[in-house]
Amino acid sequence: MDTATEPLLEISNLRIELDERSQLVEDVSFRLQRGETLAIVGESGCGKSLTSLAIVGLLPEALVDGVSGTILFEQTDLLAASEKTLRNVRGKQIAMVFQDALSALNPLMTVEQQIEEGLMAHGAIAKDKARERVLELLKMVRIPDPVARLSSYPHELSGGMRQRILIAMAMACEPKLILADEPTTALDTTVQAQILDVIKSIQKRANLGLILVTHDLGVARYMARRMVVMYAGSVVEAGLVDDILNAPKHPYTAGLMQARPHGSFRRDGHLLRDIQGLVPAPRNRPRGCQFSPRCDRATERCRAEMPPLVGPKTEHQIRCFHPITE
Amino acid sequence: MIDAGTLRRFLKHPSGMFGTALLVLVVLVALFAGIYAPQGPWPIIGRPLQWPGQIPAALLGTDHLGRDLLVDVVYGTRASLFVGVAVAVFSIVLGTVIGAMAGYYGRWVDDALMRFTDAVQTVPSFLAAMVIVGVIGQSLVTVICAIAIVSWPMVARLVRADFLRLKSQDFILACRIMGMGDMQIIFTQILPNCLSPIIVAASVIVASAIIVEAGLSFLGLGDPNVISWGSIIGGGRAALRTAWHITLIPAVAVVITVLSLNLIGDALNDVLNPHLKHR
Amino acid sequence: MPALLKLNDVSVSYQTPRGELKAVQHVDLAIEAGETLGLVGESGCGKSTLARCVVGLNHPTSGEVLVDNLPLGTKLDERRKSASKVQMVFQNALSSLNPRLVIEKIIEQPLVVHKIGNRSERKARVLQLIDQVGLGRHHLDKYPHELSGGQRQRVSIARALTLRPKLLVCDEAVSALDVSVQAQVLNLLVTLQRETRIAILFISHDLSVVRFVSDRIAVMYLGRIVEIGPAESLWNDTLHPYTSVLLASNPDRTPDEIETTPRIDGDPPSPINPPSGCAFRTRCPYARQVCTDVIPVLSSDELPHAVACHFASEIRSGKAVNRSEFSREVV
Repeated sequence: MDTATEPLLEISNLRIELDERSQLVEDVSFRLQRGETLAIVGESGCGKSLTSLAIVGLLPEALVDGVSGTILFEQTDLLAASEKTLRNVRGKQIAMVFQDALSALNPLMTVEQQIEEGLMAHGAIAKDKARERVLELLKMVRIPDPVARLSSYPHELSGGMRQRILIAMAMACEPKLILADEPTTALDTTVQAQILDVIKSIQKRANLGLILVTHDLGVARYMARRMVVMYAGSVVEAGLVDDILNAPKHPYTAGLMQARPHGSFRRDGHLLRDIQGLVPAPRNRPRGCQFSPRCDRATERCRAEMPPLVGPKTEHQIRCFHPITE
Repeated sequence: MIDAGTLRRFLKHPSGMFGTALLVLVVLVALFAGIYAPQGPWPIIGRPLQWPGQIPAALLGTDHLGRDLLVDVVYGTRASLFVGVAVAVFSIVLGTVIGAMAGYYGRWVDDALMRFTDAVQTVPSFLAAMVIVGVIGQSLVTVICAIAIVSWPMVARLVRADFLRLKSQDFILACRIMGMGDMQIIFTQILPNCLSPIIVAASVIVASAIIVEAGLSFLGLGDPNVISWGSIIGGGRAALRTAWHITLIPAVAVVITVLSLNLIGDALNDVLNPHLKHR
Repeated sequence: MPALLKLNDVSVSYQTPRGELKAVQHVDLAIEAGETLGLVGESGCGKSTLARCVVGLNHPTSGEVLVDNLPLGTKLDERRKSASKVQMVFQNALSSLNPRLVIEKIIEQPLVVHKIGNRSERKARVLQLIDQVGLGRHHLDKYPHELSGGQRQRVSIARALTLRPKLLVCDEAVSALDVSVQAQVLNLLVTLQRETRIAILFISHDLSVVRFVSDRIAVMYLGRIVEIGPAESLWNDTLHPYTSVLLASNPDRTPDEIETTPRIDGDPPSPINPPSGCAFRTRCPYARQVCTDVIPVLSSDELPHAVACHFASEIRSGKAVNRSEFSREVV
């Protein structure tokens, strides 16, 4: 098999439902090559976090039975895999970086102990070599004064430092794919920029696949080559980041871009173009296009029928009967 | 928060409803004691230490003085419930005030009040109750006070914990910016948000008060003018080997009541803190 | 006409087990009636501490806070007086509303506390406020947890406006909201301001948001204001190296803009034991000896607006030396 062109990860028709009336994620498909970054972009409740949790089998118990579709990681279907296989994949081949570093780290263990624990759990290394490897990892994430940091506890470190530790732990077993769910949202702006740079450099060096879940279009533009925009559980637009952000075709994507603050109201008097209304709760999703109640291009057809996702998989895909074409 | 949803969840909780049914039974017994036996538990109706069935009038036999055991137990329900509820009310009021002050004001107030609470808690509670009753005198009021004095620390700690958590919440800051005074904030804003632990604690306190009262009365330290389950058991102590029904039957009553309260308390905890259950 | 809000040499310090924490150091600030001042900074810069001084929750360790030329106090009777002048909107809308009260009760609470009006007058005022913030009457008998994040923030704003304050302090009021909801709430704030002519102190870490709503912007670093001036001037003609980095770190900038501005490494120093002289010197590519010895003061000599930096003019004219080890590692 030619691994150079086989996708590292391929998700097809992923659906996650709580019960028949609540579909949390519907018909999500995308693929990722090694060395590529894909951003999953959307606001709260769009299902982006659930999608990434489903990849590594970490969905909350209540949802486990409602999952269908396939998630192929190097040709193994993770949804059909046994817990044993999943454990081998999770942490070792697919690593996760979450938003809240403080609760992801054990408050009672030092930095050295935590990273070592991860290393040895996957049988990656002998104890005497572990310390060297830990230092290597700390340098990789550009932690200043790494030797001193070995004996620090999580609460002694700043948010940015903790996030670097999380990334170091993620890289410990040399994974092929990193899932980062809002890794920088809780951080200060300047720290966010540093962490994004660290992730970018690591990915380049190790030729990793990276799935970045974020609500921030600017972060997606900075980090990813391709992106997927989700709204109310479905993919509404997918394709190259530059294509989408320069000329968004879906009214929601366009709305998101226009809603971002720019300019000065005090100087120009122009209000931001916000999107009226609210995201529907899973139980109250409308028939037809999910975005139609808030869309000023919506027609009767939009309200009655759910538009399909059209377009070639490797290029610009759009789920809309009246995409923006100008 | 106590609202319709919480009530519905409680009504669907199997062991909670079972406990409630038992408790309702117990309360009904207490309420209808006067109708069932208007003559009261005091009249001597036959020879002492009789087993059930030996005297037709006494369904469960007689106690060590020849009184109807069943009537004793029925009237004893009143004493036990009264003591239990009274102790709960006192401990909750006292514990809440102390816990609220400690939690809200913090720093030296907290330190002082918590050291005081610690001191009260280190004294073995049953012994302390015995000493208080022994020194001040044996009456129902003294018994209630004695038990309340050793029960409030638990409430104080629970209330203090919630106050510590809530006092720095933004909505409290908003109240301070609004110009609300401390007392108003404590009683109208924070306290209503602390009710869950207090309610659960209440059920525990009623149960333990009943047991302590039974113990005190068993040792002869209860109110001599009140028939309670403990006093009945105490009276039967001398004849334990031959007439152990005098000990068993009131003990069963204690167990049933305490069990019902514990079941209710657990159910309340599950219902009021659902997020803890599904960790 | 004296400024609506005046901070004169305000400093706030706390004693901690590890030493004295200097949260705010010698801040002079003024806000005119009807003006929006944006306050930008990252964690540890002291902006939230400053906000609490402005609303009377914290007493400054030294210096004074004047509202309408009268000192603002933290005691109960003083806070009652200032409640009708200064109010606050918090970041987390859910924790800023009492979970056990319905929306109507939450909004009318300030009126009740100050014993203003009878029941029907209060109800009328609540209805007026509900309309002003774009909520419906059916929201009045709901509980906070039944509303969305944006709706809760609107309630928070309505409550803050109940007593018709002259100054509204928004402490990261839109930071926890989704982009589309954030836009709605920002539009609401600027529209309300235009209608009521209220002054706003808008605190945020997000420069784009601050630029949108503000007349002037102040940048804080480790307890001091390092740059302050009209919003457009600060945005287009940035003077302080720290502000440049903040702007460059904003993911909204295009990749070319990001490539050419220096990045900084690591974390800001701790407010316990800040560096001597200019606090930014440990991460500044232009720092020299004088930066260690002398604390720079805010001045606007021959510059478009005020900045606290010894080399602001040189940096602006491109004559300052940029030490290359601090420039961004090209990825």
